[in-house]
Amino acid sequence: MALPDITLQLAGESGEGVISGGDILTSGAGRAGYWALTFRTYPAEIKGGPCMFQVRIGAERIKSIGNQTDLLICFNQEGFELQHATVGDEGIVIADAESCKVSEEFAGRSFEVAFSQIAEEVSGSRRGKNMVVVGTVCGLLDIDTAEIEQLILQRYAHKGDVGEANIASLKAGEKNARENLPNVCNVDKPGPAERERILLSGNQAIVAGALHAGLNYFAGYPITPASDILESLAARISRFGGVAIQTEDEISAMASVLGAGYAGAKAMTATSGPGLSLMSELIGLGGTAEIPSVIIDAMRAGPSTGMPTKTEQSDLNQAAYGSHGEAPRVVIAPTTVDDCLQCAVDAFNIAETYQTPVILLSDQSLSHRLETVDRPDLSRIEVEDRLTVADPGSQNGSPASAFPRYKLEPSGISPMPIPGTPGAYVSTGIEHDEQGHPSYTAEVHQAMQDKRFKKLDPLAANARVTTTGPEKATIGILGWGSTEGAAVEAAEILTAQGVSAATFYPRVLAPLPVERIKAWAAGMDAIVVPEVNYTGQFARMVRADCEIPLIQFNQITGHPFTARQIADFITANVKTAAGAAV
Amino acid sequence: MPETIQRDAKDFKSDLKPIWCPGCGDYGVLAATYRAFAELGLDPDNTVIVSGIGCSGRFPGFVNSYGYHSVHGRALPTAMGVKMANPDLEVIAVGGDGDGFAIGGGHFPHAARRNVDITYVVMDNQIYGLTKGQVSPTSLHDQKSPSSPFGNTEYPLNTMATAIAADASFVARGASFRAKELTELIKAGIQNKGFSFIDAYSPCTSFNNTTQIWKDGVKYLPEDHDSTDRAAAFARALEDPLTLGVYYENARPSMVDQHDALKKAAEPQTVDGLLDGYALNIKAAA
Repeated sequence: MALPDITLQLAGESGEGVISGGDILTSGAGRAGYWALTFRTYPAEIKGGPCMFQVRIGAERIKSIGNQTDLLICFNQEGFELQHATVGDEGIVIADAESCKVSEEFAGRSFEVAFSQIAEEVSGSRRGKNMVVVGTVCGLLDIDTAEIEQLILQRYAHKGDVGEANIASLKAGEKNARENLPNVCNVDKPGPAERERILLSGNQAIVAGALHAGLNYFAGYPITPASDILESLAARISRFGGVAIQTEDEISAMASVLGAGYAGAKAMTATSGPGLSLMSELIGLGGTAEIPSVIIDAMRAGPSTGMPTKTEQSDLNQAAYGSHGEAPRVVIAPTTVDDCLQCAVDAFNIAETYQTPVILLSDQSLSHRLETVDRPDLSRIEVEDRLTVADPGSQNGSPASAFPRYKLEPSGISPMPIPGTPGAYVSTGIEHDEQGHPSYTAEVHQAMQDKRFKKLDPLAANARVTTTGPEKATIGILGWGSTEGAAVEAAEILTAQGVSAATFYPRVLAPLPVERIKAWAAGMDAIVVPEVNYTGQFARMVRADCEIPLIQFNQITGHPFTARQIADFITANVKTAAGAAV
Repeated sequence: MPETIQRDAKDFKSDLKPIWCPGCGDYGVLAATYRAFAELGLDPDNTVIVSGIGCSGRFPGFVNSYGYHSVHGRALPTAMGVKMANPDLEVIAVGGDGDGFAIGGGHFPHAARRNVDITYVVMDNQIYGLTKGQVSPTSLHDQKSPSSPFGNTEYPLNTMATAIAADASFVARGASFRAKELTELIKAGIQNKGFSFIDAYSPCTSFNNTTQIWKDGVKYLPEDHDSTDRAAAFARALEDPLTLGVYYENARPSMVDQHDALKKAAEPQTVDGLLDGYALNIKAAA
C-alpha cells in the first residue's frame, strides 16, 4: 500500500553537501508536484560537526515535520549513530558503503550504496557524493531528474564544469537506485496542482511580505537565525527603492528603524532573542512616541547565548512585556511559511494603522524550513498606510506652536505629520501633552497611557484566528506560532482514535484576544497548550487573563514538536471532566 | 521644494522656554543654532533635530522645526534612520558628552565612518549635569565629583582625535561663548555633505563651572592649519584641547550618495518578480 507521505533524512558531516543536497532534492520533489516541508539541524560552528536535513514529501499539503523517519540516508557512521533512533519500525536505512555500518536491528531493511565511489567513477571527484544521494532518492521515489538537472546547472553556473559533474553523479545515483535497490518508497503520486506553487523559507516569505507592504528601510545586525533576512534585503531592497543597513549593534538598528518610521518610511529590523533584549528600551520609546515599526524575532533556544541554531518559542514574554514601565506594543506569530508572508504584511498594516511597534515572532524551525505553498495572489493582500495630516496649516515664517501630534482622539489614533510636510512637532518618549511638550501631571499620564493602550483594543477583537475541528470537543489544543501544523495533525490523530479534538491559533498574542479565547474554550472539555519552551509562557498569559484551566505541554529539545508527540502527551496525561482517560 | 522664505533667528524659537540653569552654555549653542538655521535659510518643516537624554535632550523642543527626543545615547543611529529614510531632510543631532561618548559612544565611530549626512553638535561640559554632577568621559583626570569623591581615576577622551581617527568628514571644536564662530561652524557642518562633528564647549554653571577658565583659555587653530591634512589634524588634536576651529575635513561620498548610487544602478523589481524566483513551475489545473 502506498503511503500518503514519506519523511526522509539525510545525515552527515557539515561540509559534505547535506544541506545543499537536501535543498535541491526538495526543490526537485516540489517541481514534480509533491508537497514538501523541511527541517534541518546544523552545528553552530563553521567547519565540521554533524548536520541533518529532513524533508517530508507527500501528495497532500504537509503540515509538520513528520513523526518518524521513513528513509534515513547516512553519509557517514556518525550520521547513522545520531539519527537512527528516529527511524520508524518499518523505516529504511541506506548507508554509505565505505564509511557506515548499520546495527543489527536494521537487518533486512538497510542497504548500502557507495555514494563517494559512484561520484568518483562518473565525475572524477568524490565531491558529488551528495548528488549521488539526491539521485538515489529520485530513483526510489520515481522522480524525473530533468528539473533537478536544470536546478544544478543554475546553482553551479559560475563554477565551471561543477554543474556537469554533479549532473553525472545525480544520474549515476538514480540509475543505481533503479537497478539495484528494491522498491522501498511507495508513496502516493501527487495529482494535478490546483494552483501554482512556490517553495520558500519562512525568512524568505517574511522578506517578500515586507516588500509587498512597502518596506523601504531595513537595519539589522547579523544573528542566527535571522541573518538571511539582512542578506536578502541587502541584495535586493535597492531594486524596490529602499535601503538596507548593517548596523554596529541591534540598539543602533532599532533606533534607526524608529528614526526612519518617524520620517515616514516603512521600517523593519530582524533579529533573534539576544538582539531583541538589546532593543527593549527602544521598543518602549516606539510605543510611547507612537512610531510605526516592525521587529522580526526569529527565536532560537535561550537563555543567554543558548543554542543558537536550535528552535524554541521562548521569547514571548520578552516580546510582550520586555521594556521598562508599561510599554504598549503588538506581538504577532505566523504559523506556516505562507503565513509568514501574510503576517509580515499584517505587521506593517498594524504598525501603520495603530502607530506602534509590532514584533513578529518566528522561530528557527519556521525561519529556515522550506515549504511548498500555494503562490499567494498579492493583488488580494491589502496594504494599509498611516493616518497623516492633510493640511495642518503651514507654520512657515512664524514662531509656532507645535502641531498637536498626540491629540486625544476617541480612537486613540492621532494624525501623524511626516517631516518634510507642514506640521512640525517633537516626537518624544518623555511623557507629553497633546503637542508633544513634556508634562508630568497625573491627568496627562493617565490620558496618554489610556490612549496608547486602548487604541489597540480593536486588534484583540478582530485579528485573524485559525481554528480546526468542532465547536464542542473533548480536547482543545490552544497554541501559537509554528506548532500549529503539528497541533492540527495531532487533533486529526485523536479524532481518528474517536476523541473529538479542535485547535485554536490566534495570530495576535498581545493584546491577547481574551474574549475570543474564552468563547472557544467554553466548548472544550480540556485544553492543552503545547509550547516549545520551559515555563509555558503563552499558557501563563492565557491563564492570567482568561482565567481558564489549561494543561501545559512543554518541550525544549531544540526541535519542533511532531504531531505524534502532542497526541501521545494528550492520550497519556489528559483526563476529561468525567474523569475518564482520553 | 517650497519657495525660499527669508527667516530671522527668532523664527526658529519655539513657544517652549528653555529649562536650563542660568548661565548654562547650552543657551549659547541654541542661539548659534537659530542663527545658523536663519542664515542658511532652512525650512522648519524640512528640518529635524534629534537628541538623546540629558540637559541637551530637551534642545529640539526649543526649536521651531521637527524634532525627535530619543532615548539615552541613541541620537546618532536615530538621525541616520531619519536621514536615510528621507534624504531631503536637513538632520541635526545634538547631545552632551555623556550621551555621545559614554552610553552612545559605540555609535560615534560608525556614524563617522559611514559618513551619514548629518551634523552632530555635542554640548561638552565635561560632566553629567542632569543627574547632578557625576564625571563624564570628557571629565579631567583627578576631577572630584559625587561619583569620583577621591578624584577621577580615568583620563578624558580626546574627542577631536577620536573623530579624526574615525574619518569624520568634518571635525571642529567651538564654544558656546564664542557665538559668532560657533554659528559659522554649525553652518559649515550643515553645508558639508557627510558626517559633521562639532564639539562645542558648553559650561555647566551648576556642577562644573568652567566658564571663566575656558573663556580665558581658548585659542584658535593657526590660519595656516591645513584641515585636509589628516596627520596635521591629528597633531593639532593632541595639543592644547582648548583650541577652537576646523581640525579636519575629508570630502567624500556620503552614505546617502552611496545608497542613491545603488538605487540608480538597480533594476526595478516587483514582489511578484521576486516570487517568480521561488516558483515550482507546476502547471495549475485549468
